[in-house]
Amino acid sequence: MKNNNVPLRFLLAGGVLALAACASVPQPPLDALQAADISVASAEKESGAEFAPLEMRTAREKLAAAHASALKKDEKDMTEARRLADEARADADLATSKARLGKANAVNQELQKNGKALRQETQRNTGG
Amino acid sequence: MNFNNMSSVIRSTFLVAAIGSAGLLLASCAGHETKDPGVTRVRANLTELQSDPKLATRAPVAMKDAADAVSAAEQEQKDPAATAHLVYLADQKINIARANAQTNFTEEQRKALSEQNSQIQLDARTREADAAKRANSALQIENEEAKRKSDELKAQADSAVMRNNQLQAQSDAINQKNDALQAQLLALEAKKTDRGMVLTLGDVLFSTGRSDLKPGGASKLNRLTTFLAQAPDRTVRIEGHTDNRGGEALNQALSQRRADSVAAYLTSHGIDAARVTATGSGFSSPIADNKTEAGRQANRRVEIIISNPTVAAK
Repeated sequence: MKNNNVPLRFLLAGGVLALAACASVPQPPLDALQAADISVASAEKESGAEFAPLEMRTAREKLAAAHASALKKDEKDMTEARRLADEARADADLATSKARLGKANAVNQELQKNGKALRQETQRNTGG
Repeated sequence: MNFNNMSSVIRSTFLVAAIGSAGLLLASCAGHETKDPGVTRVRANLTELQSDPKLATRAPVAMKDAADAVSAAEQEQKDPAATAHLVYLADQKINIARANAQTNFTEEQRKALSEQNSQIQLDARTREADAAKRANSALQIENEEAKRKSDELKAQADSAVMRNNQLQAQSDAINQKNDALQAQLLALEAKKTDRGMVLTLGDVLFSTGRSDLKPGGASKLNRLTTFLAQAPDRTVRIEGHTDNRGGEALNQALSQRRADSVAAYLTSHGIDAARVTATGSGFSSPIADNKTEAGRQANRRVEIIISNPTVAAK
Protein backbone atom coordinates (compact mmCIF):
# COMPACT_ATOMS: atom_id res chain seq x y z
CA MET A 1 0.00 0.00 0.00
CA LYS A 2 2.81 2.36 0.88
CA ASN A 3 4.64 1.77 -2.39
CA ASN A 4 1.62 2.65 -4.49
CA ASN A 5 1.31 6.14 -2.98
CA VAL A 6 4.81 7.32 -3.96
CA PRO A 7 4.33 7.90 -7.73
CA LEU A 8 1.02 9.59 -7.10
CA ARG A 9 2.66 12.04 -4.73
CA PHE A 10 5.32 12.93 -7.34
CA LEU A 11 2.67 13.55 -9.96
CA LEU A 12 0.77 15.88 -7.69
CA ALA A 13 3.92 17.76 -6.70
CA GLY A 14 4.94 18.23 -10.33
CA GLY A 15 1.52 19.61 -11.22
CA VAL A 16 1.49 22.10 -8.35
CA LEU A 17 4.98 23.32 -9.33
CA ALA A 18 3.87 23.79 -12.90
CA LEU A 19 0.79 25.75 -11.88
CA ALA A 20 2.77 27.95 -9.49
CA ALA A 21 5.27 28.82 -12.22
CA CYS A 22 2.72 30.23 -14.65
CA ALA A 23 -0.43 31.15 -12.79
CA SER A 24 -1.41 34.24 -10.70
CA VAL A 25 -4.65 35.30 -9.18
CA PRO A 26 -5.83 38.73 -10.54
CA GLN A 27 -5.42 41.04 -7.58
CA PRO A 28 -4.69 44.82 -7.78
CA PRO A 29 -0.98 45.36 -6.82
CA LEU A 30 -1.80 47.55 -3.85
CA ASP A 31 1.70 47.30 -2.28
CA ALA A 32 3.41 48.42 -5.49
CA LEU A 33 0.92 51.26 -6.01
CA GLN A 34 1.32 52.48 -2.45
CA ALA A 35 5.13 52.37 -2.64
CA ALA A 36 5.02 54.33 -5.91
CA ASP A 37 2.67 56.93 -4.37
CA ILE A 38 5.11 57.46 -1.49
CA SER A 39 8.14 57.70 -3.79
CA VAL A 40 6.47 60.27 -6.09
CA ALA A 41 5.32 62.36 -3.11
CA SER A 42 8.76 62.41 -1.54
CA ALA A 43 10.39 63.22 -4.91
CA GLU A 44 8.05 66.21 -5.16
CA LYS A 45 9.05 67.27 -1.66
CA GLU A 46 12.74 67.07 -2.66
CA SER A 47 12.12 69.50 -5.57
CA GLY A 48 12.41 66.68 -8.11
CA ALA A 49 10.47 68.79 -10.65
CA GLU A 50 13.25 71.39 -10.50
CA PHE A 51 16.28 69.09 -10.69
CA ALA A 52 14.86 66.15 -12.74
CA PRO A 53 11.79 67.40 -14.65
CA LEU A 54 11.83 64.51 -17.17
CA GLU A 55 11.91 61.74 -14.54
CA MET A 56 9.27 63.54 -12.52
CA ARG A 57 6.94 63.77 -15.49
CA THR A 58 7.28 60.12 -16.49
CA ALA A 59 6.87 59.08 -12.84
CA ARG A 60 3.56 60.97 -12.58
CA GLU A 61 2.31 59.68 -15.95
CA LYS A 62 3.19 56.07 -15.12
CA LEU A 63 1.69 56.31 -11.64
CA ALA A 64 -1.58 57.60 -13.11
CA ALA A 65 -1.56 54.83 -15.73
CA ALA A 66 -0.85 52.24 -13.00
CA HIS A 67 -3.83 53.39 -10.98
CA ALA A 68 -5.97 53.30 -14.11
CA SER A 69 -4.87 49.76 -14.94
CA ALA A 70 -5.49 48.61 -11.38
CA LEU A 71 -9.13 49.62 -11.72
CA LYS A 72 -9.59 47.02 -14.47
CA LYS A 73 -10.24 43.39 -13.57
CA ASP A 74 -8.17 41.44 -16.06
CA GLU A 75 -5.07 39.60 -14.89
CA LYS A 76 -3.01 41.18 -17.67
CA ASP A 77 -4.08 44.62 -16.48
CA MET A 78 -2.93 43.82 -12.96
CA THR A 79 0.50 42.79 -14.30
CA GLU A 80 0.63 46.03 -16.30
CA ALA A 81 -0.42 48.02 -13.22
CA ARG A 82 2.37 46.47 -11.12
CA ARG A 83 4.99 47.10 -13.79
CA LEU A 84 3.88 50.71 -14.27
CA ALA A 85 3.85 51.29 -10.52
CA ASP A 86 7.36 49.81 -10.14
CA GLU A 87 8.67 51.95 -13.00
CA ALA A 88 6.96 55.07 -11.61
CA ARG A 89 8.64 54.37 -8.28
CA ALA A 90 12.05 53.91 -9.93
CA ASP A 91 11.57 57.16 -11.89
CA ALA A 92 10.54 59.04 -8.75
CA ASP A 93 13.44 57.61 -6.74
CA LEU A 94 15.82 58.68 -9.51
CA ALA A 95 14.29 62.17 -9.45
CA THR A 96 14.90 62.30 -5.68
CA SER A 97 18.52 61.19 -6.11
CA LYS A 98 19.12 63.75 -8.87
CA ALA A 99 17.56 66.50 -6.76
CA ARG A 100 19.84 65.66 -3.82
CA LEU A 101 22.85 65.59 -6.11
CA GLY A 102 21.85 68.94 -7.60
CA LYS A 103 21.53 70.50 -4.17
CA ALA A 104 24.83 69.00 -3.00
CA ASN A 105 26.55 70.40 -6.08
CA ALA A 106 25.01 73.83 -5.49
CA VAL A 107 26.31 73.85 -1.92
CA ASN A 108 29.78 72.86 -3.11
CA GLN A 109 29.79 75.55 -5.78
CA GLU A 110 28.85 78.10 -3.13
CA LEU A 111 31.67 76.86 -0.91
CA GLN A 112 34.13 77.01 -3.80
CA LYS A 113 33.01 80.55 -4.57
CA ASN A 114 33.44 81.53 -0.93
CA GLY A 115 36.87 79.90 -0.83
CA LYS A 116 37.94 81.81 -3.91
CA ALA A 117 36.68 85.08 -2.45
CA LEU A 118 38.44 84.35 0.84
CA ARG A 119 41.68 83.54 -0.91
CA GLN A 120 41.50 86.75 -2.95
CA GLU A 121 40.74 88.77 0.15
CA THR A 122 43.60 87.31 2.16
CA GLN A 123 45.96 87.80 -0.77
CA ARG A 124 44.87 91.42 -0.99
CA ASN A 125 45.42 91.86 2.73
CA THR A 126 48.81 90.24 2.62
CA GLY A 127 49.83 92.12 -0.52
CA GLY A 128 48.52 95.47 0.71
CA MET B 1 14.27 -10.23 -4.53
CA ASN B 2 12.32 -10.58 -7.70
CA PHE B 3 9.38 -8.86 -6.29
CA ASN B 4 11.59 -6.13 -5.06
CA ASN B 5 13.19 -5.75 -8.49
CA MET B 6 9.79 -5.50 -10.11
CA SER B 7 8.58 -2.81 -7.83
CA SER B 8 11.81 -0.85 -8.26
CA VAL B 9 11.49 -0.89 -12.04
CA ILE B 10 7.90 0.28 -11.83
CA ARG B 11 8.97 3.02 -9.39
CA SER B 12 11.72 4.22 -11.72
CA THR B 13 9.35 4.41 -14.63
CA PHE B 14 6.90 6.56 -12.71
CA LEU B 15 9.71 8.79 -11.45
CA VAL B 16 11.01 9.44 -14.94
CA ALA B 17 7.51 10.17 -16.17
CA ALA B 18 6.84 12.56 -13.32
CA ILE B 19 10.07 14.46 -13.76
CA GLY B 20 9.57 14.54 -17.49
CA SER B 21 6.10 15.97 -17.24
CA ALA B 22 7.24 18.66 -14.76
CA GLY B 23 10.23 19.49 -16.97
CA LEU B 24 8.00 19.87 -19.99
CA LEU B 25 5.68 22.15 -18.15
CA LEU B 26 8.65 24.27 -16.93
CA ALA B 27 10.12 24.40 -20.42
CA SER B 28 6.85 25.85 -21.70
CA CYS B 29 7.47 28.89 -19.44
CA ALA B 30 11.15 29.45 -20.36
CA GLY B 31 12.29 31.61 -23.32
CA HIS B 32 15.08 30.94 -25.72
CA GLU B 33 18.83 31.35 -25.06
CA THR B 34 19.66 34.52 -27.12
CA LYS B 35 20.29 37.52 -24.85
CA ASP B 36 18.22 40.69 -25.07
CA PRO B 37 20.45 43.69 -26.12
CA GLY B 38 18.95 45.77 -23.27
CA VAL B 39 20.09 43.16 -20.77
CA THR B 40 23.60 43.24 -22.21
CA ARG B 41 23.60 47.03 -22.01
CA VAL B 42 22.50 47.27 -18.33
CA ARG B 43 25.09 44.67 -17.34
CA ALA B 44 27.75 46.73 -19.10
CA ASN B 45 26.51 49.91 -17.45
CA LEU B 46 26.58 48.25 -14.04
CA THR B 47 30.10 46.91 -14.61
CA GLU B 48 31.25 50.37 -15.65
CA LEU B 49 29.79 51.92 -12.51
CA GLN B 50 31.25 49.17 -10.32
CA SER B 51 34.71 49.75 -11.74
CA ASP B 52 34.58 53.54 -11.33
CA PRO B 53 37.07 54.11 -8.49
CA LYS B 54 35.43 57.40 -7.59
CA LEU B 55 31.90 55.99 -7.29
CA ALA B 56 32.07 52.18 -6.83
CA THR B 57 32.04 52.13 -3.02
CA ARG B 58 30.13 55.30 -2.27
CA ALA B 59 26.49 54.11 -2.39
CA PRO B 60 26.57 50.44 -1.33
CA VAL B 61 22.81 49.99 -0.79
CA ALA B 62 21.75 51.54 -4.08
CA MET B 63 24.57 49.63 -5.78
CA LYS B 64 23.26 46.34 -4.39
CA ASP B 65 19.74 47.23 -5.57
CA ALA B 66 21.09 47.96 -9.03
CA ALA B 67 23.06 44.67 -9.14
CA ASP B 68 19.95 42.75 -8.05
CA ALA B 69 17.87 44.49 -10.69
CA VAL B 70 20.43 43.62 -13.40
CA SER B 71 20.44 39.98 -12.24
CA ALA B 72 16.62 39.96 -12.33
CA ALA B 73 16.66 41.34 -15.88
CA GLU B 74 19.03 38.56 -16.87
CA GLN B 75 16.52 35.88 -15.80
CA GLU B 76 14.80 34.28 -18.76
CA GLN B 77 11.25 35.59 -19.19
CA LYS B 78 8.42 34.11 -21.29
CA ASP B 79 7.14 37.60 -21.94
CA PRO B 80 9.48 40.01 -23.81
CA ALA B 81 7.58 42.88 -22.20
CA ALA B 82 8.64 41.55 -18.78
CA THR B 83 12.29 41.66 -19.86
CA ALA B 84 11.88 45.19 -21.18
CA HIS B 85 10.30 46.18 -17.88
CA LEU B 86 13.11 44.61 -15.82
CA VAL B 87 15.72 46.23 -18.05
CA TYR B 88 14.02 49.60 -17.53
CA LEU B 89 14.05 49.12 -13.75
CA ALA B 90 17.71 48.04 -13.85
CA ASP B 91 18.56 51.14 -15.90
CA GLN B 92 16.89 53.48 -13.43
CA LYS B 93 18.45 51.74 -10.42
CA ILE B 94 21.91 52.05 -11.95
CA ASN B 95 21.17 55.74 -12.51
CA ILE B 96 20.00 56.06 -8.90
CA ALA B 97 23.14 54.30 -7.63
CA ARG B 98 25.32 56.61 -9.74
CA ALA B 99 23.51 59.74 -8.58
CA ASN B 100 23.69 58.66 -4.93
CA ALA B 101 27.37 57.83 -5.22
CA GLN B 102 28.00 61.22 -6.83
CA THR B 103 26.04 62.90 -4.05
CA ASN B 104 28.13 61.14 -1.42
CA PHE B 105 31.31 62.03 -3.30
CA THR B 106 30.18 65.65 -3.47
CA GLU B 107 29.43 65.66 0.26
CA GLU B 108 32.87 64.24 1.01
CA GLN B 109 34.40 66.96 -1.13
CA ARG B 110 32.32 69.48 0.78
CA LYS B 111 34.08 68.51 3.99
CA ALA B 112 37.42 69.09 2.33
CA LEU B 113 36.20 72.41 0.91
CA SER B 114 34.94 73.57 4.28
CA GLU B 115 38.20 72.57 5.90
CA GLN B 116 40.08 74.34 3.13
CA ASN B 117 38.06 77.51 3.68
CA SER B 118 38.57 77.30 7.43
CA GLN B 119 42.26 76.78 6.82
CA ILE B 120 42.38 79.84 4.57
CA GLN B 121 40.67 81.89 7.28
CA LEU B 122 42.92 80.44 9.93
CA ASP B 123 46.01 81.13 7.85
CA ALA B 124 44.86 84.67 7.21
CA ARG B 125 44.27 85.21 10.91
CA THR B 126 47.61 83.67 11.78
CA ARG B 127 49.32 85.89 9.23
CA GLU B 128 47.53 88.96 10.57
CA ALA B 129 48.47 88.03 14.12
CA ASP B 130 52.07 87.44 13.10
CA ALA B 131 52.22 90.74 11.27
CA ALA B 132 50.72 92.50 14.27
CA LYS B 133 53.22 90.80 16.53
CA ARG B 134 56.08 91.76 14.24
CA ALA B 135 54.83 95.35 14.06
CA ASN B 136 54.44 95.34 17.81
CA SER B 137 57.93 94.13 18.52
CA ALA B 138 59.29 96.61 15.97
CA LEU B 139 57.40 99.34 17.79
CA GLN B 140 58.71 98.07 21.08
CA ILE B 141 62.26 98.17 19.78
CA GLU B 142 61.66 101.67 18.43
CA ASN B 143 60.17 102.69 21.75
CA GLU B 144 63.11 101.35 23.67
CA GLU B 145 65.48 103.06 21.28
CA ALA B 146 63.56 106.32 21.63
CA LYS B 147 63.54 105.98 25.42
CA ARG B 148 67.25 105.29 25.43
CA LYS B 149 67.89 108.35 23.24
CA SER B 150 65.60 110.42 25.38
CA ASP B 151 67.44 109.31 28.53
CA GLU B 152 70.73 110.10 26.85
CA LEU B 153 69.53 113.54 25.80
CA LYS B 154 68.18 114.15 29.27
CA ALA B 155 71.52 113.18 30.75
CA GLN B 156 73.27 115.44 28.27
CA ALA B 157 70.89 118.26 29.09
CA ASP B 158 71.44 117.70 32.80
CA SER B 159 75.19 117.74 32.41
CA ALA B 160 74.90 120.78 30.14
CA VAL B 161 72.86 122.56 32.78
CA MET B 162 75.35 121.52 35.40
CA ARG B 163 78.25 122.66 33.26
CA ASN B 164 76.39 125.87 32.50
CA ASN B 165 75.93 126.47 36.19
CA GLN B 166 79.60 125.79 36.74
CA LEU B 167 80.53 128.15 33.93
CA GLN B 168 78.10 130.70 35.24
CA ALA B 169 79.70 130.41 38.65
CA GLN B 170 83.15 130.67 37.09
CA SER B 171 82.00 133.56 34.99
CA ASP B 172 80.52 135.24 38.02
CA ALA B 173 83.73 134.70 39.90
CA ILE B 174 85.76 136.05 36.99
CA ASN B 175 83.43 138.98 36.57
CA GLN B 176 83.71 139.65 40.25
CA LYS B 177 87.47 139.50 40.01
CA ASN B 178 87.43 141.64 36.87
CA ASP B 179 85.23 144.14 38.58
CA ALA B 180 87.67 144.23 41.43
CA LEU B 181 90.61 144.64 39.06
CA GLN B 182 88.68 147.21 37.13
CA ALA B 183 88.13 149.14 40.30
CA GLN B 184 91.87 148.95 41.03
CA LEU B 185 92.65 150.15 37.52
CA LEU B 186 90.28 153.05 37.96
CA ALA B 187 92.02 153.82 41.19
CA LEU B 188 95.26 153.91 39.19
CA GLU B 189 93.52 156.47 36.96
CA ALA B 190 93.84 154.17 34.02
CA LYS B 191 91.85 155.03 30.91
CA LYS B 192 90.16 152.54 28.73
CA THR B 193 91.39 152.67 25.13
CA ASP B 194 91.29 150.25 22.21
CA ARG B 195 94.85 149.21 23.01
CA GLY B 196 93.79 148.27 26.54
CA MET B 197 93.88 150.20 29.77
CA VAL B 198 96.35 153.04 29.60
CA LEU B 199 97.87 154.40 32.74
CA THR B 200 99.63 157.67 32.25
CA LEU B 201 102.23 158.62 34.76
CA GLY B 202 103.16 162.30 34.58
CA ASP B 203 106.60 163.74 35.13
CA VAL B 204 106.30 162.92 38.85
CA LEU B 205 108.45 159.81 38.40
CA PHE B 206 111.61 161.43 37.14
CA SER B 207 113.61 164.60 37.57
CA THR B 208 114.40 166.60 34.46
CA GLY B 209 116.96 164.84 32.28
CA ARG B 210 117.24 161.85 34.61
CA SER B 211 116.01 158.33 34.34
CA ASP B 212 116.13 157.05 37.90
CA LEU B 213 112.83 156.88 39.72
CA LYS B 214 111.98 159.54 42.23
CA PRO B 215 111.01 158.07 45.56
CA GLY B 216 107.53 159.65 45.34
CA GLY B 217 106.74 157.86 42.08
CA ALA B 218 107.15 154.48 43.72
CA SER B 219 103.76 154.54 45.42
CA LYS B 220 101.96 154.69 42.07
CA LEU B 221 104.09 151.86 40.71
CA ASN B 222 103.47 149.84 43.83
CA ARG B 223 99.75 149.86 43.15
CA LEU B 224 100.45 148.76 39.58
CA THR B 225 102.62 145.92 40.83
CA THR B 226 99.87 144.78 43.18
CA PHE B 227 97.38 144.84 40.32
CA LEU B 228 99.64 142.88 37.96
CA ALA B 229 100.32 140.29 40.65
CA GLN B 230 96.55 139.72 40.91
CA ALA B 231 96.00 139.61 37.14
CA PRO B 232 98.66 137.22 35.89
CA ASP B 233 97.04 136.97 32.43
CA ARG B 234 97.77 140.54 31.59
CA THR B 235 100.92 141.95 30.05
CA VAL B 236 102.22 145.49 30.16
CA ARG B 237 103.88 147.65 27.60
CA ILE B 238 105.76 150.57 28.94
CA GLU B 239 106.28 153.61 26.67
CA GLY B 240 108.47 156.52 27.57
CA HIS B 241 107.59 159.93 26.10
CA THR B 242 109.28 163.35 26.27
CA ASP B 243 108.71 166.96 25.24
CA ASN B 244 110.51 168.38 22.26
CA ARG B 245 113.20 170.26 24.02
CA GLY B 246 116.68 168.94 23.35
CA GLY B 247 117.67 166.73 20.45
CA GLU B 248 115.68 163.90 19.11
CA ALA B 249 118.32 161.26 19.81
CA LEU B 250 118.72 162.49 23.32
CA ASN B 251 115.03 162.39 23.98
CA GLN B 252 114.71 158.99 22.37
CA ALA B 253 117.46 157.56 24.55
CA LEU B 254 116.04 159.26 27.62
CA SER B 255 112.55 157.95 27.03
CA GLN B 256 113.93 154.42 26.50
CA ARG B 257 115.93 154.57 29.68
CA ARG B 258 112.94 155.83 31.64
CA ALA B 259 110.77 153.01 30.24
CA ASP B 260 113.48 150.51 31.10
CA SER B 261 113.68 151.97 34.55
CA VAL B 262 109.96 151.42 35.16
CA ALA B 263 110.22 147.88 33.72
CA ALA B 264 113.14 147.16 36.02
CA TYR B 265 111.08 148.35 38.98
CA LEU B 266 108.24 145.99 38.04
CA THR B 267 110.45 142.96 37.51
CA SER B 268 112.30 143.71 40.73
CA HIS B 269 108.86 143.56 42.45
CA GLY B 270 107.96 140.06 41.31
CA ILE B 271 106.46 140.61 37.87
CA ASP B 272 107.67 138.14 35.28
CA ALA B 273 109.93 139.91 32.77
CA ALA B 274 108.17 138.09 29.93
CA ARG B 275 105.01 140.10 30.69
CA VAL B 276 106.81 143.41 30.45
CA THR B 277 108.06 145.26 27.38
CA ALA B 278 109.61 148.71 27.41
CA THR B 279 110.03 151.14 24.50
CA GLY B 280 111.14 154.75 24.18
CA SER B 281 109.12 156.94 21.87
CA GLY B 282 110.98 160.24 22.35
CA PHE B 283 108.74 163.14 21.39
CA SER B 284 107.12 161.33 18.46
CA SER B 285 103.71 160.93 20.16
CA PRO B 286 102.84 164.17 21.92
CA ILE B 287 99.42 164.39 23.60
CA ALA B 288 99.57 168.18 24.08
CA ASP B 289 101.07 171.32 22.55
CA ASN B 290 104.84 171.57 23.19
CA LYS B 291 104.74 175.37 22.83
CA THR B 292 103.38 175.89 26.30
CA GLU B 293 104.92 174.79 29.56
CA ALA B 294 101.70 172.99 30.58
CA GLY B 295 101.63 171.18 27.21
CA ARG B 296 105.29 170.15 27.53
CA GLN B 297 104.64 168.91 31.05
CA ALA B 298 101.80 166.75 29.80
CA ASN B 299 103.98 165.34 27.06
CA ARG B 300 106.66 164.31 29.50
CA ARG B 301 105.15 161.08 30.63
CA VAL B 302 105.34 157.32 30.88
CA GLU B 303 102.39 155.38 29.52
CA ILE B 304 101.74 151.93 30.85
CA ILE B 305 99.46 150.01 28.56
CA ILE B 306 97.83 147.07 30.30
CA SER B 307 96.57 144.47 27.83
CA ASN B 308 92.98 143.26 28.03
CA PRO B 309 92.67 139.77 29.51
CA THR B 310 93.46 137.25 26.78
CA VAL B 311 90.46 135.09 27.61
CA ALA B 312 87.30 136.76 28.70
CA ALA B 313 84.92 134.27 30.30
CA LYS B 314 81.32 134.82 29.33
